[in-house]
Amino acid sequence: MRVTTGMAVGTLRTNLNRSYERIVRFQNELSSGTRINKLSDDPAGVERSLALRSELRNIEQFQNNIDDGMGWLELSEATLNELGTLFVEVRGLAVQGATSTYNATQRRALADQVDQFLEHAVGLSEARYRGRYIFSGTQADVPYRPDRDENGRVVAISPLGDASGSIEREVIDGVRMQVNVPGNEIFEDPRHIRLPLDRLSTDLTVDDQARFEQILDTGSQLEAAVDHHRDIDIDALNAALDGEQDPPLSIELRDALMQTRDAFEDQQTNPFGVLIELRDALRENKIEDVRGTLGKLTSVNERISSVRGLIGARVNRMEITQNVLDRVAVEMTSILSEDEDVDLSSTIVNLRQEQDVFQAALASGSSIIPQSLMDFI
Amino acid sequence: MALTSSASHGIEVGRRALQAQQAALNATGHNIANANTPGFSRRQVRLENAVSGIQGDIGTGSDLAEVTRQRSRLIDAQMRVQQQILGRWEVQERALGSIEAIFNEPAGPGSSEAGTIFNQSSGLGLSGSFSRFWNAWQDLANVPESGAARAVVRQEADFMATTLHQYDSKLRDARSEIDADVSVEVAEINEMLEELAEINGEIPRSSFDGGDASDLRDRRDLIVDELSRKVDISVLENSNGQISILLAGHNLLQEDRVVHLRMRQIVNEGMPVSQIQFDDDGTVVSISEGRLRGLLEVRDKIVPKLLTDLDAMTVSLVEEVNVLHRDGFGLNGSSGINFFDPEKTNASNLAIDDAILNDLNNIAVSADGNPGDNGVALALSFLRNKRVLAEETQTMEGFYHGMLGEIGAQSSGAQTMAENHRLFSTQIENRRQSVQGVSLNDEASQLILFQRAYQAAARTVSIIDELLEVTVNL
Repeated sequence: MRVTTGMAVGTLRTNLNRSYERIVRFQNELSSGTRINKLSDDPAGVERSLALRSELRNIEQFQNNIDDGMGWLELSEATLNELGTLFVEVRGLAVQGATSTYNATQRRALADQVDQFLEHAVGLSEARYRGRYIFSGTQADVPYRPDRDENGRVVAISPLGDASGSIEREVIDGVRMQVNVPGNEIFEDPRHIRLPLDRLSTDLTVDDQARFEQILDTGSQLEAAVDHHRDIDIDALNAALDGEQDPPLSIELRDALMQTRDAFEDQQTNPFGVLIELRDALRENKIEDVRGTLGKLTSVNERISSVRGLIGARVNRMEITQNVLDRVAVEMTSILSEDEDVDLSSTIVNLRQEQDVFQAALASGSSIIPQSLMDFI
Repeated sequence: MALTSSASHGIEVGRRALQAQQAALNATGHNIANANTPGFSRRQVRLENAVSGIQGDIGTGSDLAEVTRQRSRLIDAQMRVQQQILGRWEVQERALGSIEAIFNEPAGPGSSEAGTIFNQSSGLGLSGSFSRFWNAWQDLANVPESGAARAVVRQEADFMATTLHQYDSKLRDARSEIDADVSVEVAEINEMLEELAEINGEIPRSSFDGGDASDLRDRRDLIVDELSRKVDISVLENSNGQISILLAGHNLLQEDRVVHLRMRQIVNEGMPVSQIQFDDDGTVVSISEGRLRGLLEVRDKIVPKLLTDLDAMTVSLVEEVNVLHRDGFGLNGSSGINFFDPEKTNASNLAIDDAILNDLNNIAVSADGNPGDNGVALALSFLRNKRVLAEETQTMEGFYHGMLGEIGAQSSGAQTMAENHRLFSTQIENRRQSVQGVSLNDEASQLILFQRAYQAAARTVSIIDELLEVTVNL
């Protein structure tokens, strides 16, 4: 092919441009540290890395949520721990008060001590985390408040709001975990009790059994449940016993329901109620009543322990979740880095090669192009 | 009859030789002078021996037979097609480059990642803004009673609205700029057509005077090349050297008559844009290649698609957030309140509802009315995972990321196409230069050739002169 001077110059110029463009691109990658400097550099990579970044921001938020939830749970645990200790000590006092060798004055002194513990328990019920009452459910702006008689003694205690609400944190995509212990699970009469089936007469007719299930909504067949305790709804039970029923309850069924209610009353474990009962029994020197509280004090302690166990399980789950999130975040960051970051060594090698090409083009162009036959005539 | 040859015949032969070599030298000089002129076709001189019956076998010397313009019509036609494709992709490469820059997604403040994906430090970027908005709801869920967390939610929503407004208005600006470019291209096309019509008028006249109007043709072909880059014309050359230009089967140039293109303002999807029509019968021009095609594609397809996508995303955002928010309860017990203004569902006007602007306590966090409940805030944050777009196959963020991937792919595709066709153009241009370009080496050798011939012819004349002198002095 006939080659003209213009072609030689044009080709050199094109090649120099392309080479220089590559040099600038490598240089840009090296100086910015990232392989993707605009969307078109790697559209699929951009899509991937944006999604990863968004995931990472999610994870970061979950970690914040977990930190916050752990704080909440740990404070609940510490508070309940102290309450448990308090009840152990109170039970010691009750045992002393139940001793027949104590006289009325000594019991009055014990009553004063119990009253001190009661005040302390009231204080514990008002524990706050980041300004919110932790046992007040979702009405976290109002605490438990005691009613006092004319002598300033606590006679009853109840939440100002509804302390049953559950407070949750999202700890991983779509998974929520409860972080609060609603006050009603600790400080109030239980809404649900365990149904002591072994203490029930089981000679109910099939129809009555079904009705029993229906009223108590135990969710399981009575027969199958004989060996197990089932949670029942005390409000439904009271309504069934106190209201008019159509058709009227059979004698056997009514009997079974009454037994259930008695069992419920045996399980009254409102800590404040027990403390007040004990204090008043001591003050009034009623040794039988003092003895009557001993069992209840044990029940309260068991109740507190079981709630603490629940908290422990939640803390465990949160810790596991946190570890998972940490690992995922590390993995994602490394994938992100593979997508976005410059491979330094290979880019530098590429840059060097391109520089050599560029210099060779410059050198050959500058030595060949100026020459022509004109130089020799 | 014996052959005779006179001395004056010899001088005549020498004179003709001198003239012919001189002309050839001049043509070479013209070539050298235009070695760097764009579009120039080199001239080649053809000499022939002069024909004369009178002097018989000896001959009467040489004549300049013709000066030809070296040019390949085939390569020209290839080049024009190539220019049309190149024009289209080059203009898209540029336009899409500026559009993708609108969507740069810097990591920005509030993100924890070290370094930034795109080396800008500003906090703009819709993807980050989405994340921060959802996370702000989680933070609020952690402290539902907090006024500060409420303020952050409102601020992030406001930031997101501002970002969407900016994207929308920048895209509209880009579209207006492209529209202005279209007008400029059309004006230039009309000017070129005028100039070509003028040349069409000149060419038969120059040819009639004996030349082949090479310089006019060079000029004409250069303009046709440029015109090809703008729009997909087809070119026909008539026997008299005039060209006709057609666009989509419609005459643009015939002899010295020009049909102009004109711009007509119409409203397309709420945006005033110009439509290109033929000036004579007002039909709409259908353009399939060239810079105009590239510009129209970006203006009428790519940018409107992006605007529609942004709007679709905004509609989902407003509706989904509002539905959940209306079911919740504010700190002041209010309920049924919209978070975003339900009337403003476009990327251009997305706004926080007045109720929220006036009172942060109207932000609904609680699902049951209790101030410590966070059910609604958690549900709102979980919207990030709800597939609400593209027939419920994509989340808002996923949809947006896909949108960015598409812009990036379009832009990178245009870059690749432009780069490829630049290469093809260079190759064709090289082949063309191989035919029509000036090589200084060629011209130098021609110079030597003609110079020597000229010197020899002069020497011939001088020898005959000496012979005559001998004769005269006999």
